[in-house]
Amino acid sequence: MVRRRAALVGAGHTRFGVVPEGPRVLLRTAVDAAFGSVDRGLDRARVEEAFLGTLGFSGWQLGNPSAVLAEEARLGHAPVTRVENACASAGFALRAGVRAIESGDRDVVLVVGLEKMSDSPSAHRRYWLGVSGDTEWERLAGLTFAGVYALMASRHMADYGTPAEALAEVAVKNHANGQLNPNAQFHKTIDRAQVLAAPRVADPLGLLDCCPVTDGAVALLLASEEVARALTDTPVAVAGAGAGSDALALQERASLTSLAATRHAAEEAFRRASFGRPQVGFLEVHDCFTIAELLALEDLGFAAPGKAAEMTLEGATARSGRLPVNPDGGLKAKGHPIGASGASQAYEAFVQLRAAAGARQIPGVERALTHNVGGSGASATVTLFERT
Amino acid sequence: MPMAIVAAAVARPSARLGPLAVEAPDEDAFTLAMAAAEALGERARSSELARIDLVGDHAPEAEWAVPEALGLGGVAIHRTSGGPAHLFEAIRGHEGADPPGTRLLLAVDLSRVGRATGTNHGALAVALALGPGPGIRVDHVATHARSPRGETEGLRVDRLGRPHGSEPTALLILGDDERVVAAARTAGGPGFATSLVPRAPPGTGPAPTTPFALALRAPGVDDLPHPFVLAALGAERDVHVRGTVTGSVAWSEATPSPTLALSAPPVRDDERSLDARSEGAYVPRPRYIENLPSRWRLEADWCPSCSRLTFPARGACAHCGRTQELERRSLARSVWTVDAATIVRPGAQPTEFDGTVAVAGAYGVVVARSSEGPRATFQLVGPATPVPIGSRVVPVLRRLYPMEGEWRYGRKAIVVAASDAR
Repeated sequence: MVRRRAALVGAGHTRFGVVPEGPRVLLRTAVDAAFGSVDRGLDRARVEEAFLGTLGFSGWQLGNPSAVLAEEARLGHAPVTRVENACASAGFALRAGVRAIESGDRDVVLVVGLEKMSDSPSAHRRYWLGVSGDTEWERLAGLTFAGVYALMASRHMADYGTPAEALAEVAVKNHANGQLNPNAQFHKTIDRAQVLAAPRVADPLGLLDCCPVTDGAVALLLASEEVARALTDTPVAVAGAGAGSDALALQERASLTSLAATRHAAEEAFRRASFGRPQVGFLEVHDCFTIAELLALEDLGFAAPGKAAEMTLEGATARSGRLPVNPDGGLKAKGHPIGASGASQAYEAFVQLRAAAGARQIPGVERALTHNVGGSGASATVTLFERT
Repeated sequence: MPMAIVAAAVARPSARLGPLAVEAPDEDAFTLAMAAAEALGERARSSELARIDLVGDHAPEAEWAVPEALGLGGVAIHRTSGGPAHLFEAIRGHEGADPPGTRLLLAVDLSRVGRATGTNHGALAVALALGPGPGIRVDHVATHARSPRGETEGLRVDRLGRPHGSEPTALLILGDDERVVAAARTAGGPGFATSLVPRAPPGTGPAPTTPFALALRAPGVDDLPHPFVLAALGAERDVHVRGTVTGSVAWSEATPSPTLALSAPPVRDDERSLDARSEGAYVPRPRYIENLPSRWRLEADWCPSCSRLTFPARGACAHCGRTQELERRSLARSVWTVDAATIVRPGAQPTEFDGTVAVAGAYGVVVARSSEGPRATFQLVGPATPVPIGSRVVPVLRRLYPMEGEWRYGRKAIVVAASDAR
């Protein structure tokens, strides 16, 4: 039986960074841009349902932000559901939208990711950055996510001899890519020496190993493939959506150097898709910290355990390499508005596979993988896209 | 059979204020008493334990917290604030006590006690196991109005070179030939004994590092029974103790902590807002209380179906889901191996640890594996230094952070053996 598929027909992306706009304007801007990008136009009344990925950072409209999206997107009385899985909120919102279409229940769905992080003062931000980790054990030991990923990095370095230079190279590469992305937070190249010399945050991670605090919103319009063909000549199909879970706290997971949630999500996504890893043209992975990109390459099956460092240092993951990773700058340089990042990755798949990525376009790409992680690996989504 | 001190343990605080040993910001009467009690080992956990005496600076909450941390719910508790006299009277109070059985006496003096008078004398906790066996017997305790000449029942008392009538006064432990073998300074007011200043008997070499051990091994101890005399001076009254050494006493010390240098005296709890940094890990009090068996006693659920342990204990096996007939087992405190390590630098700490960073600059955190298998995450005690994977750590009870008007306590860890692995 041929599965009914969902396809991206439009996508809108606000500028990422510390911006003056509030959450309502960010939502409106992203949604308007998404509708504006549909080649033959799409009447808002045709949106049957929407999903909003957001953590609710700073506590502004912590409950029921769905209604704010309904207002700003002018969706009338179409239902909106808020999806929250920490930094993977938009990845899971996208998956919810895809499943609504694949099931045959809906023909047109809006998926939005949002986070407004810069409104809070510094101490308040650190509070919000910690709410998605394991509160009772990791947090009470004094850890935020930088500390948890640093623990994984320490073990990865000890087990595999992963050099600090490989972590640094992730940041160097993603900053180089971000420079070409007009929506990115940072437009500044850095070199390995700068990353290695940056102030330490949680050893072995330094300031330039960490993603920034970011505001932003991204909107995605999904339609069934049949409807999509009427809206555009170049829809981007969702070839397979997978997701996975693991224990909230690192101490309760089987491995300290591998995210089982990512492995599970990747297996599911590739099982549903009609192609395998060799056919994937580029990856958008969850590089909240530099070590996370190395873990992702290994857990997604593109590098053997312990081999991602070598692959990165060889330049294979550069935009001009054999498997470009994070051509939009990744969370590291593009920025990481928690609830929006999963949608931003799908945005990059949409523009790259339609050959509309401008200066950062990867020539001839036909298939892409996006990878969104919640917490320190408690939840993850992997989504495969292909040009149709 | 008369009750005797059969085992003793001492816990010293881990911060230094000049020459004084004082509480680190994550130490207080409860953590010091627990460190001493845990150094006593099984004697402090025995089901034979009939009563716990709390002497000195214990907070009222210690009456439930100490038995909870020791896993001795329901044991009789007797709390006495006050100084040296009360320690010896508490020991005497167990003579002829019914029912028979071992007793635990936890005496704590905090350095902050003397601050009201402008003196600071350091902090110390002592745990004594009392039982019917041979050991150190306290035969007689007498109290007198404080002697203006620093004498009690004819014994000369060394005032540590300070003029009569000024703080601090002295606790001296004497041999039967009246030689001073150990001296402890103590301030007036509540409190028992602090900042022991050991003195070697003449001609016996450098001062010993374990003054209580010395005291309990007074000269002539090989000739049993061996009488001794001890004088303790308080601010308002002096105590005179006569006793007999009837057998050797097991002696232990709490795992030494890395030393944290302080530039100011510890802040008294009544001078700080315990809600000041509660914007952080919100763990509602009922959930904190619910987790105390795992948080304080390192209890895991052992599953009879898969013979595996689940930590923290949550009433269900993490491997097969079984919820019935799980057996609670405390993970051994002695051997934990570091699986992953980091140092959390300023800005990467949760807000509730802002105070820790302010004092220590940074702190270490490890994921460590118990010898039984389960892992746990521990903040490391003391100044942050790199900890190689494979190092050994010992979990200790410490303050974590203040929340909703009270301190929350849990396990941190002390590095006892750094791995030489890279």
